[in-house]
Amino acid sequence: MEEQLRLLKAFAGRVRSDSPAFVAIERGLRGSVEVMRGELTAGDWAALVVIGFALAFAVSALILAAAITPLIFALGLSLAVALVAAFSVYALPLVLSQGKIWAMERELPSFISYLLSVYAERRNMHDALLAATYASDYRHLGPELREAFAGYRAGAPPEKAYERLARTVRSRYVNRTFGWVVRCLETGLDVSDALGMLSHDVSATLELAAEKNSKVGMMTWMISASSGFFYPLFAALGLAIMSAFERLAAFQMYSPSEKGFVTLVLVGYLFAGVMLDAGYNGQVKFGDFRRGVMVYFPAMMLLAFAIFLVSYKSIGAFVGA
Amino acid sequence: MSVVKAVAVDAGAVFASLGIDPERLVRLRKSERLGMLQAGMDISTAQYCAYLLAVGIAAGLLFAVLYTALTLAFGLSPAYLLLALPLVPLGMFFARYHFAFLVRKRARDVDLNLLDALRHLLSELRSGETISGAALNVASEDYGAVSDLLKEALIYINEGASIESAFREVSSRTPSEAFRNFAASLSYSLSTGNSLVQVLEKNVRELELSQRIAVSIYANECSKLSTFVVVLTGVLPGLLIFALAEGGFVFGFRLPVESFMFIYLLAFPFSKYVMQAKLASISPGV
Repeated sequence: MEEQLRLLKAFAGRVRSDSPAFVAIERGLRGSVEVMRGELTAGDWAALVVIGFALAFAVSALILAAAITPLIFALGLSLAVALVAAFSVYALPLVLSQGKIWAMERELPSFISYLLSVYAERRNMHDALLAATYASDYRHLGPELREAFAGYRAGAPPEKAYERLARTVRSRYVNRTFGWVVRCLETGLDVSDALGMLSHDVSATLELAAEKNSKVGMMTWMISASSGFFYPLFAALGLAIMSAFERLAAFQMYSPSEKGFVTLVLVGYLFAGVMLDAGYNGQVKFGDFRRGVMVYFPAMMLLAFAIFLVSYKSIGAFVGA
Repeated sequence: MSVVKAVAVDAGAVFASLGIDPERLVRLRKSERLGMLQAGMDISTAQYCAYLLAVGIAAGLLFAVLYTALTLAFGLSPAYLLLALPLVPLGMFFARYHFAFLVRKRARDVDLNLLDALRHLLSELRSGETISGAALNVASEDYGAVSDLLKEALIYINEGASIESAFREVSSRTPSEAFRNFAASLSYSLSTGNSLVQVLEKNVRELELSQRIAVSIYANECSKLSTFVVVLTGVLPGLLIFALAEGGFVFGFRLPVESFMFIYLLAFPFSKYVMQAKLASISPGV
């Protein structure tokens, strides 16, 4: 694994550039990559986005140019496939970092409760942190806690040692918890009330989020399925039936160029519908339309395209279109 | 800067350089003027009118360019190019609708962040912080529109206004009922000397309850609208092609190919947007 990562980094290093587009991609990824703390830097991820785009374009252009005419259509479709591939790579750090933040938030109440129990007994945040940090193997919070505590013990100021947890990780609960911890370490302020409230707030919010997900999770995906599944399925059915009728009646309702236009319009709606649904999903999950487009659009678009093509081919074969 | 604000500012500058007063070309409703104050974008009336005109003109121009290209590629009828004209008022209508949605969304953003912000404020006050110090700490965290409103209140306080009047002034800039209630309770408590912590605890309890109710309301609306969204923007657009094909062969009915563009690239996406905007505006946001 390490060898593969090293090769990937070396390969990414060759693609890196100082062009404004590359720098913009890198800047967009920096926050998420800092939260993830993987082997790859934001620059490496940006290079992988570029590599993903180029590879997907080359491969899909080769395949589609052999299957679709005219060539300009094949190239246009290859460009769309390449963009979707690049988006998928771009979305990966966003998804992974958000997953890590949610996991850290889930582990937070148990950390706070352990911290508070020791703090209530000894009135010493250093001891409470020492006990709580090594008390349990928090899967996502643990490495961050141990590193911050090690920095603090080595003599770093509390604000510096806990900077990642108090600022870099973009979670208001994690940030607030460690904001209080830092304040306590710096001033000796009694923060047990504040941390107790915070623990209750996190638990209440997680509980409410679970309730919401159980009530509307399926419906949100149904809305996404409207453009990602139902529309491509029925649109392919319609097009295949139209072709079958034309063969049966030996008469063309629309000329080949008009049918090309209709197909383009149908694909245009597929694109717009998937984008709106992906944005809506983002609005529900992250409260951010743009983030939803970044995270969900590539996968949903790939699925919708696949359903459209598979349905069209299979229904076409069935009805003899 | 939001996209709408950027468009408003740039379009305002373009109209000003051309010597055109956009306010004379667009008639504004009272609710729109209030919306401009509550949108938190800090744009003038002239810039708002310029934004409406710019979106309308852009919709018409975009259609004209796109349709010309498609006519050249697919041999469509050039007569439909005239439809670029009604697209100008349609684009303006869409711009108005979107702006009203942004105002509602901002109110929603305040409602969604207020609970967490008040919990934070409460914990700051309990730890012995003063009200302005606590407000400063909350404002410097990421509580969305609530942080912005608190920052505005702090600016008023720093300019010499009393805490009560600063919060009263700021609450007039948001359509959020919850924030107004909080500002009113805060003013009352400060002027009468009641315990601010108790008032905040009551506010937090009420908001927690209303968030639970919001989840139920959202679930009910989502269950109703999700069926509509699936049928109207998923099944129907797909089946329409099938119906047109079958109807064409059975009854000899033939829809002009150009009309597909309006149905699929305007009507269906707009219906989807309207339904999703409705759902987004009542989302409990947890």
